[in-house]
Amino acid sequence: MITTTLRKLAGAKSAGSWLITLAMYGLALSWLYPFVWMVMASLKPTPEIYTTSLFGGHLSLGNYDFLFSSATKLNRPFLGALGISFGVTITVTISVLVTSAFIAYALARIAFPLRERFRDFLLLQMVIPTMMFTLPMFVLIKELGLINSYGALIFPSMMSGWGIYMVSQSFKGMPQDYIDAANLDRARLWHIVLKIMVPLNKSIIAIVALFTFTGTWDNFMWPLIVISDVDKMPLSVLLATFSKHYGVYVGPVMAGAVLQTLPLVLLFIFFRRHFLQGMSLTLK
Amino acid sequence: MRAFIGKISESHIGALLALSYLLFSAIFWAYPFIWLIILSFSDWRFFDAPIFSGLHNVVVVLRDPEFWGGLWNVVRFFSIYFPIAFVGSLGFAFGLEHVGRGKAFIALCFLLANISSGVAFSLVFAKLFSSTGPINNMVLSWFGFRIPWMSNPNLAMLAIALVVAWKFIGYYGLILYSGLQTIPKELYDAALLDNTPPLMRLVRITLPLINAQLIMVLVFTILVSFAIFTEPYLITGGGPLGRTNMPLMIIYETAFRRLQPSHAAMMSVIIAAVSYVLIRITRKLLEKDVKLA
Amino acid sequence: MILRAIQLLWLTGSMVLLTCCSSGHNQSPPRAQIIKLWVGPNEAEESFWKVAVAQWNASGQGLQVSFTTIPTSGNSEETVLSALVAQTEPDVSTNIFSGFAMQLANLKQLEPLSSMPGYAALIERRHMTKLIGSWQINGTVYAIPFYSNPALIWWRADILAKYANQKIPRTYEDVYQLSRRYAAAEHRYGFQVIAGRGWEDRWFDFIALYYAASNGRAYIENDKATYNNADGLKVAEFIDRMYEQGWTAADFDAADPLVSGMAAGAVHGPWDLGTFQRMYPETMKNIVIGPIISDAEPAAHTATFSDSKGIVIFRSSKVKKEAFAFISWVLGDLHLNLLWLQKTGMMPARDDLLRNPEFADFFNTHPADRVYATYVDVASPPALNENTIDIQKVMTQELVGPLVFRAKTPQAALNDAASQTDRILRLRQ
Repeated sequence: MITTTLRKLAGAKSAGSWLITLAMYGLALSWLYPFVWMVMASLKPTPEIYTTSLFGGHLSLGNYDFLFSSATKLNRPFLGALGISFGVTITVTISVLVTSAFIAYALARIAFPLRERFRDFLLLQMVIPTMMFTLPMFVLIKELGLINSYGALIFPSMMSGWGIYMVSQSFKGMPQDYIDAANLDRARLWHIVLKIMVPLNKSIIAIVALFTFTGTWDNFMWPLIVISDVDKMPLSVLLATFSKHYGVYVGPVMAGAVLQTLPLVLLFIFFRRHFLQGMSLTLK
Repeated sequence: MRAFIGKISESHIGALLALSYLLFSAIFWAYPFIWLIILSFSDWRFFDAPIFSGLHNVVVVLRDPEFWGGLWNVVRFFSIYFPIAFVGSLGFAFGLEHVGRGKAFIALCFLLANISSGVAFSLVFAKLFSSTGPINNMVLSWFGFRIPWMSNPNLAMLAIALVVAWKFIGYYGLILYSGLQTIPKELYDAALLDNTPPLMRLVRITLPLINAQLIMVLVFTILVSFAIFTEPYLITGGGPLGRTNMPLMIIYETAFRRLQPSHAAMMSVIIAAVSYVLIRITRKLLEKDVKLA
Repeated sequence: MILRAIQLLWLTGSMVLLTCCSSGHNQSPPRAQIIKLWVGPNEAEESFWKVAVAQWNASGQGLQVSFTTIPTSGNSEETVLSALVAQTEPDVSTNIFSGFAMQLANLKQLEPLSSMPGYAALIERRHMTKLIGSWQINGTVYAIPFYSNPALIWWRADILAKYANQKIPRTYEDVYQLSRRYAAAEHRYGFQVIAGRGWEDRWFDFIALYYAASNGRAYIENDKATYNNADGLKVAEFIDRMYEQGWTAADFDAADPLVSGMAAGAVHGPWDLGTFQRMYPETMKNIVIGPIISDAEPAAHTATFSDSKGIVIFRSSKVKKEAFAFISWVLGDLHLNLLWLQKTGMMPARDDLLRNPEFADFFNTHPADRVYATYVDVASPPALNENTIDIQKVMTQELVGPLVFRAKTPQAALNDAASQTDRILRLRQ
């Protein structure tokens, strides 16, 4: 009786698939375990982290307090690093979104000479592995005198070929009528792009925004190479090096990890619908 | 002024926009690319000008046991990671098919792992896998021993593979799932009429028809195997006896601890070439253009 | 639209130009009149330098000094290197270990200090003649050691009392006997042989043991591994025996083994004295300090490894002579040496620690530090070679690791390690 009701609730098609549905839910929830553990560990004092059950122990914000006040004494400015991460990531994301939207529009809807060559170039760039560029990029940054500066974190990422390509694929699929109507009104380019194309392609914009934000926020190897001054490090590097040398302070490390993950999780939750829709687009 | 602007046609605007990206690429892509070529074939140690040294770097890199160790570790990682990721994502895709309600919720739970901070999670998993961590506590209470994740070379690689798989199974699974959606129902109905056993159905119908998605997953796993840095760097730091020392870590260390950026540049070129060739071969061999009659 | 595009282009272009041309060579205004100093990134050192620099500046003996801690998040070598590459390095830096100094010297980034006026007098005054030998690269000194911390073994006196007749183990046989009795129980080990998984941990296991066995002989000479000899074999056989008998473990990572009693002895440097006093005062009451074990006669003053860092002057500095004057003063001033000892617990790199009346009071009231001071003159720093990391990684992977996991015989492990090291060093010519 109960099982049948549950089964109907789950919309399962048969007895077998009811079990599978259950299994999938179980798996999905267990996939979240590391998150839960991380958050709980960040709320417990360090000696209790390994010895208490998941939700047990004395919960408090002590670790966060440590991170923001005492850690500064150890030469680890976490609050500053958080600010740097935000500043750099938001700048890069906005820059990429704006440039991608405009250039994608050009690529998708404006016939200009050598347009197909440009598209081929974008594809070529995406195929060539980027890891090779890390070292020479370091040399370039050194020549520009940008080592140990925020510029080193921002400038190389201000435009993204991937972003342009993805957005242009989405723009391509739009019916021409909208644009013709706008042109009839003698609309300017920025109006067409920002007021018409972007709102109608929210999913792909969300995807590009989310991946750019995540990629920049969590970027580890590049800032590790290019920034050595503790006061200029983004949170990802500061957290990692803090853990390497003060790994015994497990509680604060977990608190830092929560901080590092929180913006990404929040963004993900807010934009989940767009994200899911956009995923199907990218998989084409 | 207006009239002048009006005369500038749309195609000029388009060209200018494309040009802006090309200018950006010239600085941040082409110029480093040129430097890469220069660095790879010269001797440079951060100070003074690079001195042309021909193929010397190739010789040095190919004789470096650590370099070959790194490549071998890529093979080891792939051989552990691919089966886990492949079976896991296939299972996910098939499982998702049978779920009635809540597909989106399940997909989101898995995707959350993909979208979160690799730095944060490497640290979390390093704690989870430690000898007094929750995983070992569970194993201890069930089986009575602790798993030495970090001190056994093979277990350390397995630990990293599990972490990366945790991150990507949802994403790969969705790729395969979207492929499964494109298979027309009639094919299965016809197979059922013929009393085809499930295994045959899987191998003869399903897998070939999602060939494109399977190849995509395979290519991604190859790319991941060559490119991981954050997870091994933070979880094992190169592992017991250097057995989780991955190429990017070796390149980083060669450049900045051994102070040999030219060797590191040549290493990165060789590794990139190897991964590129491998992917092309994989595609050539396995990609089938499957057409539905 | 088109104006926008033009604006965008112009903005990007000008940003690039601005940043490109406003930096690099002439970034800061000429700072000829102060000496910029970088010091080790920890509180204790910082507090010492605050006093030292304030005294110098107040006395007006030379150029004013301004210091900051190395702005690193853990890897000070990388930070120093980064600064050199970006040309934002200071004039003087401390916290440089010998291998890194050699790397920088080979890249012509350091000023040879041995040719500075007043060098010989400084070495004499500070009684460093014996110590300075291991910091000489072809007779030239690029880094002067500031402190020298010998590695010694801490033992739990209560465990020794019960299982070793209160004798502090000095030879391999002593350790075997202790382990036979103490390690008979589950989850207990005689001695923590291996200090850790990283290449830097070799300093505190194999290298320390080798120095003890060979009386301080170098393990790398002329770009060749020289530890594949009778002394090296004794060390390898010791490690092998300990793991074969199960008298030590591969992994001690949880709580500190001396505190929990998991091991009766472990290698520690003098910096741990303060930490342990703070965190584990009960355990500290039970600690006795002994030399690194070796098969040399017990009466001999066993050699050991010295964790040692030095001071350098960068070649780009415009105030080299003045900087050297400052360094000479800090190194030579007895009161400052004592202050350093008091604030950081680390041994100043000088031969006369126990003879000099300045330090007598301190050592009389700090018996543990006194033990360390007696070993400063027989403690040798790492071999002077710029490929420290490679050398020690080979030690980890070919020698120590296989012995721990019982994958090679001691002689085979030594052979492999030595030949691999030779090959790599030849490669890096």
